[in-house]
Amino acid sequence: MILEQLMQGFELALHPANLLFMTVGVTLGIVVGILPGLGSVTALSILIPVTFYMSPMIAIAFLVGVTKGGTSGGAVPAILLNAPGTPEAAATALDGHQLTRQGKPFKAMKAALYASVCGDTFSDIVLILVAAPFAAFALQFGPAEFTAIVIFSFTLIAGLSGRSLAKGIVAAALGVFLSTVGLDPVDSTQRMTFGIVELYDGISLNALAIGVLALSSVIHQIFDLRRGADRSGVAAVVHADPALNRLGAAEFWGHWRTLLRSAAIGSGIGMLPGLGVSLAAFLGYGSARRASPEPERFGRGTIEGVMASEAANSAVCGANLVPTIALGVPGNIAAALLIGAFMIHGVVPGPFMMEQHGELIYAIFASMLMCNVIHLAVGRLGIQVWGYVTYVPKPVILPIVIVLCVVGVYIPSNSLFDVGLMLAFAGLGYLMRRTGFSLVCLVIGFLLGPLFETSLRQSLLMYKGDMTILLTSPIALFFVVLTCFSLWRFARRPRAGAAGRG
Amino acid sequence: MTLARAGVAQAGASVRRSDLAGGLAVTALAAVAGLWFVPANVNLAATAGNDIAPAFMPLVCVAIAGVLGLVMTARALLHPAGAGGAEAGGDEEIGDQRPAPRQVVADLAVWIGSTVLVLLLLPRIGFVVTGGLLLAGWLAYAGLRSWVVGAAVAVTVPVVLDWLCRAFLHVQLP
Repeated sequence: MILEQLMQGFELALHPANLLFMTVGVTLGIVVGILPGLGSVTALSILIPVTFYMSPMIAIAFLVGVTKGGTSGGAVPAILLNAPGTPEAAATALDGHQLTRQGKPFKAMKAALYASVCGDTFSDIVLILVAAPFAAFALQFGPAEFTAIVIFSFTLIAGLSGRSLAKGIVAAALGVFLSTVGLDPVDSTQRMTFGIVELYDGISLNALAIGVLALSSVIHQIFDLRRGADRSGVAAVVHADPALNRLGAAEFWGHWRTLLRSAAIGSGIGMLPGLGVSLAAFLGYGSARRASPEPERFGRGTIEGVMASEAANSAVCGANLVPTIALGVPGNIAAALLIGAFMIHGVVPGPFMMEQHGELIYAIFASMLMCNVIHLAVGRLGIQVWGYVTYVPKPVILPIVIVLCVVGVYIPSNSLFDVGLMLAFAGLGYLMRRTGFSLVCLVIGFLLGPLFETSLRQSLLMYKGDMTILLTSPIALFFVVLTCFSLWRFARRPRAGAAGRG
Repeated sequence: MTLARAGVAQAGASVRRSDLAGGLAVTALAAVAGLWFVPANVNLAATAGNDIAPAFMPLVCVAIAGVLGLVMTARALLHPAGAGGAEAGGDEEIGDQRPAPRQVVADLAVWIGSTVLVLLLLPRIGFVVTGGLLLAGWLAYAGLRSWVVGAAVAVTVPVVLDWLCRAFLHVQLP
């Protein structure tokens, strides 16, 4: 059944325009991942408005390409400069840069690319096999169950994405609060609109996501550059002996156990909301070192270390779409942005998504698998070129991104009001970064706010305000117990230990 | 060793002060929102046939933030400065280096100034000129030394973006 639907998906996904945009997406993702200070989240935030003019399938396939390329692109500066382009590539730098110092930068980049593609493919297969049964199970969920799941997601994301549970929950509450601006979903009265027509539909997701995630990150780095606090981005010249840089199939596949283990770790972490890609990379790396008969080689330049971290961090990409598609709850910030993209194209993520848009979903699954082949081809063809992208200095790139953000917000809305909102949210995001409030919690709170409000209000209406339904429904009770356990664990987390995490 | 300990203690005290200020600010903002902002801008009464008022969810959020603001304040006051420090925070994936509060305020002032300028200029002189000025300003601020590269980027990027939007997306930038 799944295979049949997947074949139909391939028929749709093999459209030349889809292939072209996936190739562009992967290439853009790799380049943005390599560029200092940027990453796939920034690229996704800026590019979502551009997809407004594409069909839903091409748009999502393009954005998935950006995510896949962005995750592996971060490995290039990690290997060449010991300056990870994305946080998840930090574990790759441990062995990757050692290999560069031994004169094997291309060998390290090839190992990273191949491992990344393997991890991605494994994760996509998990997604394809698991999403439909999960979604079918989730069809039994009512408002009480969704309320419990969303509360659990907030707790998990608040506890894991930052180092302070209280600050994480405050940020999520602010996100939900911002999502209530606009017309009330039940009786359509105005809430905090101040009579401004642009606010009747609520705060624009683009303005909030681009401002808080992309633009605040850019201005944060510009201010650090100004103060001289940021000394990364010093380019390195790549001269390497071809003989030292060959990576044979036997050498690569000799580490198949490491690949499989890391891909499984990445997929498992991707399916749970709130657990970061960086965590997957470090867990994959750590487990490979523990399982190795020669653990002392790790950190001194072994391709097994590069493969372990890259397979794990790339395996998060596909798996984090499992809760997104089955429940409408994003696995991480990239999945949250993809939810926004789905919604822009009239597709509401959640258990009904497979029923209502099954053809589209399987076309996206097929596109994801094809994206891996494209990723392999683009990554391998460009391997001599990527090193030179690291030469572009931050003082040139970062201001250009400010202008791109302005254009990115203006394109779908044609509204200067949204540009103003985005600039204001960038200021808020900058302040939150500096004071330690989680931006991930803010954006996920904003995205899940409408689902949370609707399900909570429906529960209160259906059960006449009796919230003990959360304790009588077995599924809701399960998530309530998980929430209480998570709160207890996060509240007891030792502060010094927490500060040292990551 | 003593110097290192003193440094850690100083950093811990600084983080504690910052957490105390954060907790107090969250509590104060939640109080203002709960007592004035939400009641003034959202209907507090439920409509007929609906038991739940439109203000329900905004007030739930404000209440949660207020309580947690008080918790943060209490923890910052009760936790000893120095060893271990007060709670740091922020996104693991994003990082949370903390410059002095004065610097943060100065940074925000620069950003607000730039925002006001952009919003004033965009509808009057259009995207290409405003974008060029914005780029030139931020390129110089970020520390780009070569004025030739700066001028080339400031002229080329807005023109190319404007053309791309017109030609491919049929969007007229202001």
